[in-house]
Amino acid sequence: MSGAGADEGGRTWSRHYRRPYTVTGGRTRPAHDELELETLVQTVTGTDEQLAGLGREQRSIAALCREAVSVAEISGRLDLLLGVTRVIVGDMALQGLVLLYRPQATVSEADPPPVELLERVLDGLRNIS
Amino acid sequence: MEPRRTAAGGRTGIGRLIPRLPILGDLRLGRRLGWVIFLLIVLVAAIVGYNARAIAQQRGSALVVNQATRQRALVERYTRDVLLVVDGFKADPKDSAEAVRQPVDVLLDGGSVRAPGGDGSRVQIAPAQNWRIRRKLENDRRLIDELITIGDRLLKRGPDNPQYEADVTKLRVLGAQLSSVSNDAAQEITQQTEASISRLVRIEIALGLLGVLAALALGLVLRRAGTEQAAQFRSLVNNSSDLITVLAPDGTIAYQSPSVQRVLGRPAADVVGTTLGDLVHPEDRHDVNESLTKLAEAAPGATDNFGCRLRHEDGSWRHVESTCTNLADDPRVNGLVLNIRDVTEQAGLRKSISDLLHNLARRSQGLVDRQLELIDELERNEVDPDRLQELFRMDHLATRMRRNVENLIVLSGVDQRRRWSESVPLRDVVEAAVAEVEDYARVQVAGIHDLTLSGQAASDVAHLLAELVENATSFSSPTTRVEITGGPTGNGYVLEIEDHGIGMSDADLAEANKRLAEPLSADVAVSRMMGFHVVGRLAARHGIKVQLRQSWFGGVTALVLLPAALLGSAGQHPAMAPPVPAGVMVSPEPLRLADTTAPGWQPHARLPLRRHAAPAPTRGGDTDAAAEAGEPFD
Repeated sequence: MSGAGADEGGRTWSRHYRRPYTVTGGRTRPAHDELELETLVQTVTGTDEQLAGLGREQRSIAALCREAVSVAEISGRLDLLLGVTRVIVGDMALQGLVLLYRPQATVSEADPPPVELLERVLDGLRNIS
Repeated sequence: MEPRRTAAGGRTGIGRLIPRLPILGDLRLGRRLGWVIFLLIVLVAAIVGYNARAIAQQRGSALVVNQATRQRALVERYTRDVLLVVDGFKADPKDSAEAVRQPVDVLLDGGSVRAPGGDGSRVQIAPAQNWRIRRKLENDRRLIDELITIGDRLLKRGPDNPQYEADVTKLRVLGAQLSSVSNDAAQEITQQTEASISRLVRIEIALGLLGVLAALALGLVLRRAGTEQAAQFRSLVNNSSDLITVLAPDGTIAYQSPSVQRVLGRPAADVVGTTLGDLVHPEDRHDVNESLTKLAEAAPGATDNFGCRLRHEDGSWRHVESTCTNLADDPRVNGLVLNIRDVTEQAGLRKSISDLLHNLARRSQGLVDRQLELIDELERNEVDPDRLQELFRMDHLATRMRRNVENLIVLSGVDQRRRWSESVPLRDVVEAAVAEVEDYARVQVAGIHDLTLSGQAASDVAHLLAELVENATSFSSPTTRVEITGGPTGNGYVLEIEDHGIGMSDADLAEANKRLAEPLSADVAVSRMMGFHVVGRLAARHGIKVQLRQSWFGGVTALVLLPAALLGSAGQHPAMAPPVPAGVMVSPEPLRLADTTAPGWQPHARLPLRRHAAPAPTRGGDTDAAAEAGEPFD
């Protein structure tokens, strides 16, 4: 969650009092199952008007994803819960606001990568940024 | 009742402050006074009546005496007239005969005679009542009849009558006899009249004396009553635990009841002449001065209440509550009257309860904060939607618990340490408020401007809004939305919370607004409308105004005016940057995504943006799609 307009160091009021469940209305399950951590997200151009009518998380994601960014990186950069990020990105994809690219998976769908791998990926992404 | 009013009029200005007690003595006094006054009225009536009768009788008697004395002259005239005619001179004995009869007839049978004033008016005379007078008058009439019979005979027969000499002699004798009898009657009447008048005078003197006595008794009774009542009030004032203080217009103490010895340990005489401000705690002095000045300028009879601390002789401070009345228009008081009550013990008790409440709430707050931090950590690492949902549920419960605990801290009345100094985006505050509400998924936030709110007020404003939103969601159908919007005004920023519920009755609305405007102190039981009470307290702390109104569309709209002092502009945005267009929601509506999960889903697919298209989530769940999309867990 972003503590907009406030000091990012330490726990600000907004971090303390805004709760993540309100961002998605309590939903935790993404709109579809194919949204993985490594899925790349890119904003569709020419949707500014639609974006203006959306919440701040949606707008932040749209701003961040002018270049393709992975779901895990969105979560890390915007300080959003991973679960919440997936729900929002899923909704945005369905509304046609973002495009999703699935990297050529080396791992089969039925056998998801271990969490350690994901965390390494996440760390790697954080290091890049 | 007359005597009561008299008694009340005797009360002093201080006495007027003390509510009139139904004292038994007063009733007895009233009854006694009633009798005395009744007696006085009867006496006065009797005196007046007797006076009138005496005057009337005196006037009548004078006429009667006058008539009786006229009789003699008339008889002599008649006798003379008869003899003149018989002797051949000219006279009118017929007329004289009528005149002779008239006075006796009038005196015996009653009738009217010419008034002695000579103005032509006539006075009615009643028939004589006294038997002695009547007997004399009847004798008189008999003699007159005889006299006139002889006179007639003389006139008819003339001097040639052989009985002429005897008749003349008899006429003269009768005339003399009549004169004597009339004289006698007049004397008798005079005597009788004098006796009756002197009797009247005696009765009047007696009545007058009785009247004087009754008036004296009345005076004594009243005086005793006044003394009793004064003693009663003095005793009430002296022995009351309350202080009664009269402040002169210049602010000095003009009167101080002796109970000051008990409350402040000083004799009343030491206090009189000093200013009240010397006794008041320096921190309270400003408020007391303001309150008294305002009252002194108010209309006479106005009252005001204030609480303050007064210095005891031993240096300690006593908490007091004062009821103050402006009696500047009462010449017996000419100042402000303060009825001061010592509430130190209650204040201490209240403070210890507040402290206890505050400490307990503080500890709970610490625990809930730690719990929320823990939940934050768990949520951060959770990728499984089901487990995240469980965590969200815990998060929501803990957040609501924190709101309650922080409200308790506010209710305890203890000024708490400020935790947040940096200002907070107003939008965050509104979203935090939504997170604290049970049915948060129904709440839609739109059009809040880019403003910041003072960090010190942020939590209180969030709880205040949460309380109002909670009220809105509880009193509207679960299928309807509650909307929060905002807009700038001349003196701040207004947030509107509107529901589409059943609304409130005008009476409930008025009561709620009263509770919002004048929150009661925490120790007063306000189980009903507790939420509004909390809102009122929170609002009062920050100068926020809250009002409930009937909404145009049914339901209730709560208006919250945040004063400009609490607000700041956010970032580089101008202070009142236009808001994000309506339609932005904290919680996006669950979208119907049935087609998108189908095989062959295209990542490039563009679906139309649905702002208000989706219906509000219905309880009991309707579509599979909603379930798949992850329904709000509440």
